[in-house]
Amino acid sequence: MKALAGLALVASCASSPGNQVEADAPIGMGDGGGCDINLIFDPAVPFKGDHVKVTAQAMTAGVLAYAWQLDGAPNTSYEAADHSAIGFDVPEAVSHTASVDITPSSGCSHQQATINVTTNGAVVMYRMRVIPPANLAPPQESLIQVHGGQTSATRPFLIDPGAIVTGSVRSGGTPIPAYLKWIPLVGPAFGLVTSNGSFTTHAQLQMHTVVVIPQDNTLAPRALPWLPSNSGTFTVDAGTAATGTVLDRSGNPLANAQVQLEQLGVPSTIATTAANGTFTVRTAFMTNQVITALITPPATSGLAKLSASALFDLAIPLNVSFATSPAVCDLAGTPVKRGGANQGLAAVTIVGTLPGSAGTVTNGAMVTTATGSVHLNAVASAGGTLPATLVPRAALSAVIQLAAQGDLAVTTFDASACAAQAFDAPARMTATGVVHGPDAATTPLSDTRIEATPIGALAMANLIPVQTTSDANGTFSLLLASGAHYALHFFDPSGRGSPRDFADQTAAGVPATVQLAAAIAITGNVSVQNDPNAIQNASVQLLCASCTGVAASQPIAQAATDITGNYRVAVPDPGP
Amino acid sequence: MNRLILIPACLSGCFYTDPINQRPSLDIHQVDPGSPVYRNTTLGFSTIPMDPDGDSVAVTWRAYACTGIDCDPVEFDSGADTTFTVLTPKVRTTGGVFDTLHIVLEARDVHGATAKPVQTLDLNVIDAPPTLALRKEARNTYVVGTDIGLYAKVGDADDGYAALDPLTWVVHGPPTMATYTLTELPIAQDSADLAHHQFGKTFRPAGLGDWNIEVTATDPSGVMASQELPVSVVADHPPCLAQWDPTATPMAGTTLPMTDPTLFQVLVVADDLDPFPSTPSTLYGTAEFHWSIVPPSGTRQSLTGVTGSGVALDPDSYTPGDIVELRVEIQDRNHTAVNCPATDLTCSVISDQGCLQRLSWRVEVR
Repeated sequence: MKALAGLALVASCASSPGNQVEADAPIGMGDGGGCDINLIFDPAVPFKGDHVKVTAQAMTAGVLAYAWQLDGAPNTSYEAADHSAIGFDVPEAVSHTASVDITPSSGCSHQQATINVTTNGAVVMYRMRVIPPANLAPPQESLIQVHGGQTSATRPFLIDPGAIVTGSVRSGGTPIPAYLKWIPLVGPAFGLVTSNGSFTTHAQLQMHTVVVIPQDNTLAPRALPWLPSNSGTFTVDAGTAATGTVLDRSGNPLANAQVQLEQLGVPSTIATTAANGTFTVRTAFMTNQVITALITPPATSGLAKLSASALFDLAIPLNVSFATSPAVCDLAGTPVKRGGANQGLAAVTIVGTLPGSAGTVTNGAMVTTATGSVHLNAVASAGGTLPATLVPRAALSAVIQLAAQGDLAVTTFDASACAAQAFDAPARMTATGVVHGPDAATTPLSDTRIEATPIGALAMANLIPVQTTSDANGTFSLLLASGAHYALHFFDPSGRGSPRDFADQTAAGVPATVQLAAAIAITGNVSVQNDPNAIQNASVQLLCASCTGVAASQPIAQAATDITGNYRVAVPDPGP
Repeated sequence: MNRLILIPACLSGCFYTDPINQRPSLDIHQVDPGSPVYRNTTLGFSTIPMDPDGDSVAVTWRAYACTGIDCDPVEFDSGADTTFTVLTPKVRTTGGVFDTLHIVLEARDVHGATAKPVQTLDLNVIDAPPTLALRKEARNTYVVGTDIGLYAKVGDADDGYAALDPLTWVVHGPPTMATYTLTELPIAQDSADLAHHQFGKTFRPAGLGDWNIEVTATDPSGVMASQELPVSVVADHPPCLAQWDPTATPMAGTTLPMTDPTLFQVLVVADDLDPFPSTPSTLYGTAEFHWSIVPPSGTRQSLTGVTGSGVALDPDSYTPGDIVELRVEIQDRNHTAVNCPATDLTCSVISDQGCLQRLSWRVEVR
């Protein structure tokens, strides 16, 4: 691969010595305010073995003198007659920092920038999320590239302090308690809760969508635009009523079902169906956007949760009907056992997904098929048998929790024929292994963290992870639910190796030896524009760039800035 | 240059005289370092020879080790440049100690004329005391009962560090007369600095207050160098929740709507002993997290298998409108009890209510 000749990285406008701008041009890095020196690297993304030219563009009149330093040492390898540029070879994939002092100056005389020399290796993208102390700035995010084959790379992060927004949430002129989710055009969303309707927060100077969810269930949640020029007052009201009915699989009105609509992350109010199956929710939705209807039947009904999405017209009633099939089956009397002995008071969660259509949502002439998922709770009697527990006749799973929280077991069963069942809850299994570092397979790593996150049936019951730490011998021990599946994540907080993941493992499948791969140390300084103070205790997380759901917020690596505002994390080397 | 000078005769004609070559002159300047002068150290000298005739001048430096006026018959170093750098020997060429460095500087121009008198400089050479530098591990605070690394870097310009007596370490405690331990701490040597040696101690004070560690190095001649290292030992500070996500619900009656699977996580714990995320250092441990949950219509359950910084909840696991309370409490290695009433959503065990050890999310499933 050749270097990107002709491209240039512009590191502009450091307002004070020490201000750094990274080479891989993270989103959000930019004007430091008030300075008039640009450092231009050519090529902008140099590879190992390249020659790099860095030019200082000073917006100052007159004949200027340039004093260059490269990596802290004076450098006179001029590549311009007026000394406005220097050049240097980059034989290794490391970072280099160039700085220049210019005299005479107008305003500022110093500029500094760091460029990361990469290998020709693979490239991986990360979202770098920085959450500074709340009184300084809002959370921010940028995309960074990490090139394989390096041992380290520098990624400074310049925080936009944004603006302080003082505002309120009102209904009819009265402040009301609410939750506000601020979603910027670029960057991470953040939330705040106000108990009296008033709030103060930091927001970036860009357009936001603010989702306001009142604590009062008679008021419709609403998404409102916010611009930096706007006030911080958000007004909500009862919105528009959306009505409908819910019928059970026999076509009878279903009482006590929970109904909620949702559009683009904005929920409606929650309604409970009346005895005649009718409901009314309050909405503040946009027209011509997909709406999802979520119907949770009463736990005693044995029906699945329904979910249906369509361009519903809320001026027309939504009529929900459960499919006649599958029928329900009563698990009453089903024993819950361990080692052949009934387990009194065992908590059982029945989970599963129904195949095909589980119901329909009729909206005028439009009939939309609903999917069905099962999530039902029951507690065994003191004698260890289930009370009356209706479930759909389908292949399902039982997540069984015995006395102690975390003492779980997962078992599958088929209720299609409504045959008698017996739930066996084997004791948890201890999976052990040893974690090794990347340099010497024989060297175990102590103090590495291991997290087992439920997936599959267990995840449908709950997402509570199992976590542990390797001991001085690198040995770890995980107590995992029998029959459950987990996603395993091994990581070293000290960065001696890179995180390693195993996608789908049972207790029996946990690897006995886990060698962490070589890591690339990402270091840098977090600073706030126009603020000379070091930013301590800012959270720095590297997140998957393409993940969704919870995985999008699971850090691959994380650190906090130290007293000087510096951080260090380790990420996997994507290799050559 | 024409050196002929024509002098008119007064009476009977003219005569010629040979040109007169004048002697060069010069002085010795000691440039580095100044007095006193130690053995086995590098000294620099310079001179600026001057010749009235403009001739080039050759200089010769000689350095002798002497005891009083008794110098070695042979110089231990010589030079022929206008600058002269010598490494003073540890002993005379004859093997004995010396107390005087005798520098001789001669100059001769191209015609053989020498500077008169020969320039000499006698410098008093004394026994160099050991050098000693101390350092303690850099920390924000030094917490009672924890290990503190102390480092001493010693050298001796003329005797060498290997000739020094073992360092003496004396610990002066605060008035409380608290106990302490001081044990060996092996440390790697700087291969680029062969003139010095480093020693380490692990100091664990058992009491609060101002401690002072006095370290003394002594060379074979009994010359000593002492340094003191003050250590102010403070009580352990409970850890503080510094960053978390999403926003918590510190006020009773408020809830956090959960519309999607959400990772509830502590991002930063500030602590003098066990911060989170833990830093790549042997100095610190990592904070402990204790999670509990109150499921809908249920009682609090400890999440015993959860020891990390985050827990995810999925609204699909619940019914819309359900209220779930998720709580995290943090402790450092000293396990200060988070002893607020269980009904308190937040808790601070110290007077600083901005330093929380407990945080709760009251989540409304939507």
